[in-house]
Amino acid sequence: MVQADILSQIILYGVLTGGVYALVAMGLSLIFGVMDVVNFAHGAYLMLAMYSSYFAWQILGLDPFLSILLVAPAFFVFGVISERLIIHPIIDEPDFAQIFATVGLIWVFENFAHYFIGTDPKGIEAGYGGMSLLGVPVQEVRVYGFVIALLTALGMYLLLEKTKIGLAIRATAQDKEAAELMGMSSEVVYMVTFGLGIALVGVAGPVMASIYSTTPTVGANYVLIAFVVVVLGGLGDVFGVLWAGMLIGIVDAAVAFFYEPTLSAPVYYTIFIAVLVLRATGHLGGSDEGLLSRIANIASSNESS
Amino acid sequence: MSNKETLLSVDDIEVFYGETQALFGVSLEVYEGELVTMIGGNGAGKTTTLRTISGLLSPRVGSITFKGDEIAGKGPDEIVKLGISQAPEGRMLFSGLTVEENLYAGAYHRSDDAAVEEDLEMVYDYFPQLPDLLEHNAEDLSGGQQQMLTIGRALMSDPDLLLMDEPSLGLAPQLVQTIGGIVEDLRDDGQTILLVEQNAELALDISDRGYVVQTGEVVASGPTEELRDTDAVRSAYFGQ
Ligand SMILES: Nc1ncnc2c1ncn2[C@@H]1O[C@H](COP(=O)(O)OP(=O)(O)O)[C@@H](O)[C@H]1O
Ligand SMILES: [Mg+2]
Repeated sequence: MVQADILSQIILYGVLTGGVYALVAMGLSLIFGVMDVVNFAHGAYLMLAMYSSYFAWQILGLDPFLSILLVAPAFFVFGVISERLIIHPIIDEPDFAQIFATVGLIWVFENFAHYFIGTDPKGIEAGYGGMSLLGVPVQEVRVYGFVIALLTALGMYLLLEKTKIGLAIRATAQDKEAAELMGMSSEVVYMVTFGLGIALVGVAGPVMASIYSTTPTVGANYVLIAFVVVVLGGLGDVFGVLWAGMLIGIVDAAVAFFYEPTLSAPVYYTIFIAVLVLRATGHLGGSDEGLLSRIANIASSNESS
Repeated sequence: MSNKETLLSVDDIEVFYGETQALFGVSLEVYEGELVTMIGGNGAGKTTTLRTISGLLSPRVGSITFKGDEIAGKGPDEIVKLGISQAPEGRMLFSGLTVEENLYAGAYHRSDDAAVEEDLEMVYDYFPQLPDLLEHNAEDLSGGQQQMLTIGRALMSDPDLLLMDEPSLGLAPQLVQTIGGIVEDLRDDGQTILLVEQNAELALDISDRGYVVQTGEVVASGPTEELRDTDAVRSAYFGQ
């Protein structure tokens, strides 16, 4: 018999963790929805952001949540530069060029981390303890991380809906040529979009580094989750991604509790396929179905390789 | 008319899609304040010409000057800032954005906020249906409303030259007349327009001058009242 307090614990943990998953997925969704680029390196960027926060704590003594103020802007710039150097040259090339480029980045980033940092898990001990939320004992870092995820989602929403560059991003997602006819430079929009997507990882990284320990391959654990969240939440739909993240967080927590953690991945994958079949729709791009079938293709070719 | 300033001058441009040539030396001029039309059948090269002027395509040969400056090879986002906007073929609205957002998208490159608001009012004067539709997504509008939004969006950039690609396409005859009337009103209010049409009758009725294109070449040009009687136009449109 499942007790009520266990159930509420699973749901609360799931929601808190899912909010952070959503942060990672939001950047993926944005880049995907606007640029039609599948950033396989998203998890590797996350790994670098987690290390950045770790070193900010270890060397500068910076609290991981405070380090967001450094890491997120730095990752925005990092994203803009990456777009210029890696994505821009292949933006009009066939899918496989994008796969090579972004999968190549994973290799570069992971080896960089492996070589310079090593494989020892790095954890931040910033002195946060436990607290009680709705009568359930939880770690403080999870609660703060969730609040940051919510605020970031809100900020992202306002940026996309209420600012001029947000209008340009949404217009470009809908019709790139028409947007250019309005004076919106797609080169600039793509740089900003990729920069924002990576900046979101720059927010998620410190939050995750405060909860989990970091290794060179830690990003891979979260990429599949992020893909499922994106497909479930809809492309470029900030709040859709947030809900989806929480849902996946709950599934994650439930599977880990009732069965075992290693079963999570097959469960995500099943949800992923189910959603593809059900054809979820997003709000940003005009061609979500095409994009969804693209993820399906890429994902299945990825699986079989 | 010829004592007016030349606003746009397209000089002998050749445009290719890959290795396939679409324009074989097209030349045309638009003077300030004029309503000029370019007519021709399906596949003649009208859209290609407008897309080249807007910078979506680059001519391999030839030049395009606007207000005396060469613009061939510049990007579309630069050209709209110089004063050329387009109501493109197929409308190319931002279908998932609201009517209001589409209109503001048209004014994207402008920073004169007060004038943008005035122009919004002007667009509402031309298209009184639009103010009631502001919160609707563009994709939920009727064909006629979408065409109005397309023209309104192009006007929001405060263009010196407005390019219109088949605004009558796919509209009921009565709406075609309405749109034609609005195009005339715009010209009468001082807007310089280059209008591309397959509906030659409508275009020749409302325009000052015209060019007839066939398979990527200009085969006749002149004041519309003369053009109507040329063999090229008669054989292409009225004599079949
Ligand atoms: N994207 C394209 N790729 C290849 N050929 C094209 C493309 N667009 C138009 N064409 C060709 O260029 C020629 C001119 O087309 P277009 O300018 O669209 O004509 P119009 O607008 O007068 O109907 C046609 O032969 C057409 O088939
Ligand atoms: Mg055409």
